[in-house]
Amino acid sequence: MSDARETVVSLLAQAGIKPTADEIDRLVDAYPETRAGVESLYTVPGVRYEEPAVTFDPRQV
Amino acid sequence: MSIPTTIASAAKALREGEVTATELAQASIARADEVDHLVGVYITRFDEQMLEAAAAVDADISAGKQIGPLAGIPLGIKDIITTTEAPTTGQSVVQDLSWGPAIGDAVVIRRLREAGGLISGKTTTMEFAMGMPDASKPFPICRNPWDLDRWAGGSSSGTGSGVSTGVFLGGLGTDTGGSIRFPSAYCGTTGLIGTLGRVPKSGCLPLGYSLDHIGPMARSAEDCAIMLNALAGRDESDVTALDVPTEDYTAGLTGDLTGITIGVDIHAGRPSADSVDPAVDGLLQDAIAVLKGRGANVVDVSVPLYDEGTLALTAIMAGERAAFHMPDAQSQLQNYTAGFRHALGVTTFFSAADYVQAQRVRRVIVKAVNNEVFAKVDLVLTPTTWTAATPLQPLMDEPWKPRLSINTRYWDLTGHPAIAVPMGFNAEGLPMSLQLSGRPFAEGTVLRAAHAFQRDTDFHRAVPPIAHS
Repeated sequence: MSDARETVVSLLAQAGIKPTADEIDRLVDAYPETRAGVESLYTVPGVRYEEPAVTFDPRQV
Repeated sequence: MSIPTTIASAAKALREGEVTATELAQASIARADEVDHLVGVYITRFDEQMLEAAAAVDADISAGKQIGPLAGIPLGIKDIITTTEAPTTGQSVVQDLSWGPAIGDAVVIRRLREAGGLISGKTTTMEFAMGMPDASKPFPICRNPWDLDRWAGGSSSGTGSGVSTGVFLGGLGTDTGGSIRFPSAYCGTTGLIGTLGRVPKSGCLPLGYSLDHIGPMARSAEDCAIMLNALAGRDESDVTALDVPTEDYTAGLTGDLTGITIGVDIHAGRPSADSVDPAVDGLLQDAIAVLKGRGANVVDVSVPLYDEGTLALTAIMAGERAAFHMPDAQSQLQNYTAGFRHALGVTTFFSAADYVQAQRVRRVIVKAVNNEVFAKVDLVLTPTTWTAATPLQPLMDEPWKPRLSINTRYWDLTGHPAIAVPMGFNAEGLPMSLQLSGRPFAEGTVLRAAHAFQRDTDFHRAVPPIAHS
């Protein structure tokens, strides 16, 4: 089993999602490019000490 | 009797006694009878309720009572926004139909009714605002009214096709990555997202909690402005709504763009040449000439970190989508459409750290575009999409394949207001669209420029041949 397939199968199992065999094949095909895109977010300049754009007001009722 | 084709002209005709609300509602129903089965505008129609509401408007007019700015105007509502007439389906057999009735009208629906609007029905979408059309599910396939073998776009599909064919004069869509603007582009209509937090989104099924917008879709920028007047403003039911004063969004619709600087970016997000319609560049240059003729100063700009913005939005939406759908994904995955099942599988590729990192990248991008671009220009002009409406069958056959050349996601990420405006037709007679984006809470400026463009062009008035009667 390829690394990508092993990873995808593991991720799906962890999430409790059960696609068909064909659907798993398509997800395995999609995995490398998707991860490459996500990994590139960690190289965007100026982000190292930036706050995430998620906030809330602790006074909320 | 000639039925007006815009909200503004219908409102004027109503007040001058040239048409009644009942006649507007009857015309809406008649047009729906003609085209709905061809195009797939509605999931549920509210003909009887709309006629009752129209009769009430006519009674108020006869009694000399003051009526609201949308009085008597038939409107379509995307079926992920709850209304009292019927449960909200989300265009999915997975949807819990008890959700909507437990809420009643969403805030935006209440506001439209208070303005006198007639709710004509719930319009087609994509499954939970994202799943591609799937013929195996019991919902209409939404076809493009300009070419029935093409897609209307989504996910505000039926609202876009309904406005385009004149079934209703305006409607609501939602937009998380482009779902108001690119169906507007594909259908030849006008669609606006306000600043993130400008319009309350409570009472709407979520796709991206920090990305979702509700906004108006209509034939013109003027009509979108009239609708935004009714929709905008904080409501405490929406934790993401921002407490910023509203304004009269019709006040700036003078046609004059003197003092406005527009930055053009035709490179950001541009795909390879075989994915760009040959008409795009020429039509955009024609549009620039129109805007200059109205007094605008036009310069070149470069939207920063464009590709990174698209990636960040993908990661954010994956996490937010997964949180909402995970229980159903685990218990009834096969009840989702094929495209949404693939999307749910892809959400497992993203970690919690990825989500947080994407939100950090987001803040950097917001600062960059405000400091580097909107410090110098009032508006940014781009194509809304790089192609006209896509063929429908390939989307349905292989919904997991990315096929959309759209230019909309960046502004959902940054939260800036943006409008899609018809700018002409390609060689096949399909609508093409330009997009104007503005500073936060500068919806008035965005609408002003779009309206000025529409003063000198007729593209937004074009009606597809199947709707001519």
